[in-house]
Amino acid sequence: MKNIIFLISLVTFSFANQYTFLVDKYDEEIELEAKIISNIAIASSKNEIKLFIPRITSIEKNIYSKFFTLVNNCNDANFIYVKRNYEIDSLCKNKINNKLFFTNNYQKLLKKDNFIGAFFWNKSRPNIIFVKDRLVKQNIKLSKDYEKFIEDIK
Amino acid sequence: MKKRLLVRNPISLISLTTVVSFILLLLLYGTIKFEEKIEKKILEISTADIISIVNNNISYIKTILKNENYIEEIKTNEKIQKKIENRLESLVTSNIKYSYLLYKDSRGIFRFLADGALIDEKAILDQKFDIDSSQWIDIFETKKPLSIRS
Repeated sequence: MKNIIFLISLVTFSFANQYTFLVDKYDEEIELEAKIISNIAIASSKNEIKLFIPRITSIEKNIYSKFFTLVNNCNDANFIYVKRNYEIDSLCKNKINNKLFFTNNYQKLLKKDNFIGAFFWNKSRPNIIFVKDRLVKQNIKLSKDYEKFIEDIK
Repeated sequence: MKKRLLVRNPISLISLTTVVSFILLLLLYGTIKFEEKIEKKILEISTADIISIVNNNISYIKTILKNENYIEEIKTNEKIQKKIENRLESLVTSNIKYSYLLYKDSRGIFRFLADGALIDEKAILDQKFDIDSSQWIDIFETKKPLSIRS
């Protein structure tokens, strides 16, 4: 009887990680976001992407580092993905001309000219927007696959 | 007496176990089928109610739209847009997460005409909405309700 209980316990503990499905799901969402941002960054820039995410979390750091070279400050980066409240001007000490800024907030995209586009979840669906004028200003030519995401926002 | 009979005659023990297992399997199968039937019925009743409520709102929205080019009318008349939005807001419950009105522009991109979400999450007029599922296109083409199960 003792052996049977020991065997059952062993099997239960061996498969215990399957019950952490909520954590796994959260990671999957960030991973999907990282993949999309990676595709966007590659499509937007010919140079090697050096990504900076202001106030990045440790989970994001782990996942994003699989797809990007992460840097710790805005000055060393050429692609900045702003996910949380952060003032770009103070963050980059006004050296923002040669960098690409992306946000996860549609309202921020409308208000701030620095952002070339946004990736955000709307009604549980991923949405991507690039602003036409800002792409032209930065001399970015996207492939045909991205044409449907380009918007003429004034 | 019976116990001794079963122990001495293993074939009757095996037969008894087989019969009991068979009855249990039948019961399990019956329960699963019953559960599926109940689930289908509940879904039918709840969606029928939702569709009726939505249809009532569609009738109301149709009455306030005067022009055939209703997309332009909603875009240019803020009062009408607000009225539609109020209707859509009343549809949102703990079970109905989203309620919005879309149109398809000349580039084939879906855009918001009205959104019943809370202010923080509300899409603005003409905001693009990325849809890649063929089922959504079907809804737009057929103009009929569609239940999508994932």
